[in-house]
Amino acid sequence: MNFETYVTQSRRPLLRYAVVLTNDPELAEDVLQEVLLRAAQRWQKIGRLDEPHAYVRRMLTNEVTSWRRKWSRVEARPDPELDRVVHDPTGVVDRRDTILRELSRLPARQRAALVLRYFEDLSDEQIAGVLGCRATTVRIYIHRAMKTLRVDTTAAALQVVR
Amino acid sequence: MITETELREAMEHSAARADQLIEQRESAASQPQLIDLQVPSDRAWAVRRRSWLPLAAAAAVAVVAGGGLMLAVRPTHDSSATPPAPAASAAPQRKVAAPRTDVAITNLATIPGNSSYSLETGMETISPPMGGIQVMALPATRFDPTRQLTDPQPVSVAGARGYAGHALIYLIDPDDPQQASKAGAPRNTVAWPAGDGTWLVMQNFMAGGPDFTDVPVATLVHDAEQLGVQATPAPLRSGYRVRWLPAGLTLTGVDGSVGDPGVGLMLTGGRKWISIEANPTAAVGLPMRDRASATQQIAGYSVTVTGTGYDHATLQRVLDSLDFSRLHGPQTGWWTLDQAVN
Repeated sequence: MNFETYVTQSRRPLLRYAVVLTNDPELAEDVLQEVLLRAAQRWQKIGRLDEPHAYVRRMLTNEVTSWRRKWSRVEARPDPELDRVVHDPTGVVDRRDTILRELSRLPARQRAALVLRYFEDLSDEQIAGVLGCRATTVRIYIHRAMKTLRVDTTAAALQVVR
Repeated sequence: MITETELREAMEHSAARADQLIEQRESAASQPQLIDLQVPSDRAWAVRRRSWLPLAAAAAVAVVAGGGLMLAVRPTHDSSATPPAPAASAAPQRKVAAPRTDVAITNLATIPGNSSYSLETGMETISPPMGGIQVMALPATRFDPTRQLTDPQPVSVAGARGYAGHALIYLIDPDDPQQASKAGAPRNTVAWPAGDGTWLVMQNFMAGGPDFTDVPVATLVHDAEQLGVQATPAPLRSGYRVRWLPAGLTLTGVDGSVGDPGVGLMLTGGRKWISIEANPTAAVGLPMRDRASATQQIAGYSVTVTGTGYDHATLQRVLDSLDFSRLHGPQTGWWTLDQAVN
C-alpha cells in the first residue's frame, strides 16, 4: 500500500481516535499531521509492516502523550457557556460533556489506555503493544482511570457490555 | 457514577467532531482564502492562531492530505482573546415557599439489579445493567406510540401489545431544531405498556455518528422481555435535605439508583441552575474547573454543588445548608423529594 492510499483510507479513523484522545479537534489535527509527516518520511519501512495502521496509531498515541507533556502548561480554554445557558432538558448532553472533560484530565497514559479499550476496542495485550508496556500495567491504568471517572465496574454492569 | 456505555457513547460523540472537522477542511480547501476566518463569531475567543508551514513542507502535507486534510502545524495558543465573563449575579437571600417540584415524587418504574434512573421534565429514564440501551417510562398522557413513532408496527413484548418504529434519541421532537440537531439519526424504538398507564420505551442511546450501528427490533424486544420492569411506583427518597436555596429555583431533575441515598438534584430557574451531587467518598471524581462549584466531604460522601448564574459564595451556602442527619438511617426515614427541597 502506498502512503497516499493509506492516508485516504485511514485519516478519518486516525483523526477520530486523536480527537477522542485529546478532546480537542484542532490539537488532534495538528498532532496527526505531525505524525503523518513523519510516517511519510519513513513509509518505505512502515508500508512493509503487516499492520502499518497499528504502527501509525502507536506513533500517534506516543505523539499525543508527549505532546501533552510538552504542552502541559497550555490548556484549551473551557467551553463557553454561551450554548449552555438553557439547560439541556434531556441531561444527556451535559452529562456527556462532563464525562469528556473528566476524561481529558486523566493522566495521558491512563487516558490512552481507556480510549484504546473503549473506543478502539483493543485487548489488554494490544493496548500494551501500543503503549509499550505490559498487559498488567494496562489493567492498572484502566482500573485507576475507571476509579477516577467513577465508572460503574460492578460485575453486573460489566458482564453485559460487549 | 457513570456506566461503561455512557463512556463509550461519550467517546463516540467526541469522535464525531473529527468528521465535522474533515468536512470543514474539505470545504475550506475549495475556498483557501477563508481558512482562517471560518470560526463562528460566538466562538471567536477560542480561535488559536496557527503558524503555517513553509511552502516546501506545505507541498509535502498536500500529499499527506490526499484531499484537503490539514495545512496548519503546531498551534500557538493565543491568549489575547478573552472568554465571555461568567453570568454571576447576586443570589436572593430568602427561601421560597413551595411548590418547587415539577418532577414526579415517585418512580414510575424500576428495573431489578444495578439500574440507575433519571427523572426529568416528566419523564423517567432508566439505564439497565446492559450496554447500549435505555428505557424511558412515560405516563400515557405523555406518550402515544402511534404518533411519536415513525411507521409504528405492532409487536408483542412479554405478552403485551406494543409497537416498534423509529424515533430520535430520548424521543426528542424532530420539529425542535435546537434539540433535534443534537439527536443524530432516528433509531429503532420499541414501546410497550407496563400497567398503570405507563408506557415503557426502549431504544439504543449510543450517539448517532457516521459509524452508528442500530440495535435490531428483535434484539430490543428480546432485551425488553429480560428486564422484568416493575411498573409499581417505588418511593423515591433522598438521604439528605437542602435547607437553603436561592429564590426562584424549581426541582427539575433527579438522578440516582434505587436504594442509594446520594441522589443528584437539579434545580433550575430560567437560565440559572444548581446541581447537587452526593457520591460515596471512595468514588470521587474530578471537580469541573470551568464552572463555579463548592465541594465538601460530608458523612462519608463527597458532595458537590455546581451552578450557572451563581457565585461561589452562594453555592457554598447551599452546600453548608445540607442536612445529612438521616443519611445513615433506615431508608424509610430518608426525605421525600418534596421534603428534600422545601
